[in-house]
Amino acid sequence: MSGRGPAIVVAVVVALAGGAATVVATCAPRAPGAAARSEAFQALVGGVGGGPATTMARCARAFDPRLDDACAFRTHPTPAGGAYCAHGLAGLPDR
Amino acid sequence: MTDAPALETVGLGKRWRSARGDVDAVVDVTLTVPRGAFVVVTGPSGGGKTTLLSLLVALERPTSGRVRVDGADLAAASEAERSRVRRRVGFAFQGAPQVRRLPVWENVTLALVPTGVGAAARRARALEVLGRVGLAALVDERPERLSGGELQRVALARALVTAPPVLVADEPTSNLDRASAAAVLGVLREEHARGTTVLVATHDLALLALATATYAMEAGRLRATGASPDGAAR
Amino acid sequence: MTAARPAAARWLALGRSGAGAVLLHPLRSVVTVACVVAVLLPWLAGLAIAHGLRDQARDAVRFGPDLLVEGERLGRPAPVPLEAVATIRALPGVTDVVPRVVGEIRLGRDDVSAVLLGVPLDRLPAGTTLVRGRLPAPGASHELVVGAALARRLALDVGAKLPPFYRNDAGERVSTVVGVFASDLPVWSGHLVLTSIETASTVFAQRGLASSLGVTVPRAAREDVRRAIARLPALGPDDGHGPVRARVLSREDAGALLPAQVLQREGVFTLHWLLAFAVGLPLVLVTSGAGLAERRRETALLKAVGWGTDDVLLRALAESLLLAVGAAALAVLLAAAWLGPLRAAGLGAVYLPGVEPDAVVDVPWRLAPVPVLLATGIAVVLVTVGSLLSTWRAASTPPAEVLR
Repeated sequence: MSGRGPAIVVAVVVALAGGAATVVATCAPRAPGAAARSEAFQALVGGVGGGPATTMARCARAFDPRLDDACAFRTHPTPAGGAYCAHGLAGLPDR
Repeated sequence: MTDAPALETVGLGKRWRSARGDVDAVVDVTLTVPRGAFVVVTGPSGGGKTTLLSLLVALERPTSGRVRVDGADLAAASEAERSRVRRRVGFAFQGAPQVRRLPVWENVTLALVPTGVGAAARRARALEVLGRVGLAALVDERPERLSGGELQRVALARALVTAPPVLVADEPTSNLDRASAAAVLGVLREEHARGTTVLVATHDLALLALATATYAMEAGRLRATGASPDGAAR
Repeated sequence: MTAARPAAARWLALGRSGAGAVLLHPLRSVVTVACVVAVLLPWLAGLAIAHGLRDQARDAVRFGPDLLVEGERLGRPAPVPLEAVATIRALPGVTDVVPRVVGEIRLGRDDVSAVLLGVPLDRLPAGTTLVRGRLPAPGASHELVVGAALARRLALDVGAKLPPFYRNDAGERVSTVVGVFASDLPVWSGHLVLTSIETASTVFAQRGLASSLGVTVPRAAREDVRRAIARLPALGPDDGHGPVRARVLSREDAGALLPAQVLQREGVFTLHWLLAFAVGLPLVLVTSGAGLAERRRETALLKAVGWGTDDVLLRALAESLLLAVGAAALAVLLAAAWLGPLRAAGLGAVYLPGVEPDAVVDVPWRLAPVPVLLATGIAVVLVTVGSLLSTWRAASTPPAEVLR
């Protein structure tokens, strides 16, 4: 508490908050390069994916919801507006 | 307000509850300390002196009776009012508790923080009061590096830092060598000479020489042992 | 000395004292920050991935077809006969129809799951920067472009030969890897195998069929065309099992489906985090009481020298706010480091089934302001509630009782 102690504490917190704000400010808008690559890929393949899995190992819907829009395993509401799916439980890898 | 005694108690009592049963630490104490008085309370250890002082400076609530400081009734006061009273009464604790890791000057000036006094001004004020108790050189020292006697003087400096109209000290010269005790006596004498009301609980008979009134406390009961009509000690 | 100062000076002095209190109790400060970071970090990182995925999912919808036509039999999706391409192309308003095959295949000794995508090769551009190597050449058969994660898993590179991985009465062929997708593409490229629609039909032994047809229609005619396709009596000639009916999904329908899918993961993640929060809350409450005996003594001393309960609480509030904001900011920075330089190590596989633990494909992420502000608010509530509660209790105890 003596001397520069409180000032150092405040400075550290301000620096951390400033760093976090900078990270959010630079990350919040999507990076143009990443967006361009994503768009180019989807243009090449005609729109693929969109689900929360990178393979169809558990269900086609998890890879691309358009492939099976009547999946019997969906869904029950969870907090924050999400939904629960038996295939997504605990997010286990599909290996 | 100006006519009211500095400290006044009527039928004051404090009962502690413990596993071994209730203990009456203070029993039916009626005491009036006029402004500018120098009152000394003596008595054996465990007699209730510290509890009486705690009641007088609003660190405890009484079980019965009334306490008035500068006319303010502490028994009926809100917690905020009791805090204001504590700011008007300097209290030098027995045992001299300190905040570890805080340098001496910050410990001495803790009472000034809520009043918005800046750090530089507080340090200057700490130097001033520490100088009066002979510890100016230790202004930036940590409490854990101080001896018991030095801590006792730091506690007295903390009691003086707000220049209170009432100064209450619990065993201010215990743990002190002769020179340090003399320095503390000198400070108390100076404060009294300035018009500060002083109330001291002590075993140190040397303090009796400064007293305008003396009391003895034993088994929670207060008994007047001496006072002279002109205010000098017996 | 004790004269009342302006409120601002009092607040400043108490704030300074609160900032100093962070250093007075270093163990408590460190443990509190560590607990808050432990609670917030996985949640922030998970939500950042959800937002990144949503961005990529929107691209998948935007560059997908205006209408997606699938077959339907027994109320379930079924392949589409390729004769339907001409039938639908003849409908008024339709400008293009592109068939494609999408299905799961298993590769290698470990049966690694991959998504085989067959498209008409004459639709692909001559060159692309998305692939190391080249795209399958028009007219060529059994030329594959594989995803970066798959290539890594199966140790494939451009020019690698893939022994027959399917059973087919028409014979089996060795396939050639002619290209590998770059690692900075959407996550769904990781296990993708791109080839010609003819090769894909051969692999699945389903010649003359497509998984779906992508229909290009101007927006004004979209609803009419959709209705016209849905009313078609059959998508192809009768094969003896009855007609294949059409099931049509518009881009708007798909747009509503995709975020819901990502949100599903987000919801599960939030559920997990709530469980962690339930554990973290008492933890933080306990840690806020760390060194309680010393804090009680300190509070009693402050009260004894004339501090009001509000002064003590303001000081504790300043201390808590600094700890909470510092911890939340640290969690944001660590989340960014975890997702950026550390490439979501350990988290990508939890959040995205199919992503390798040592992910080759970049996991998308975006730290949005709302979750960050929410995290900061949660940190403030967590820390201040515990701290103010214990401080208030200490401040309510008669000072002499503590100092005795």
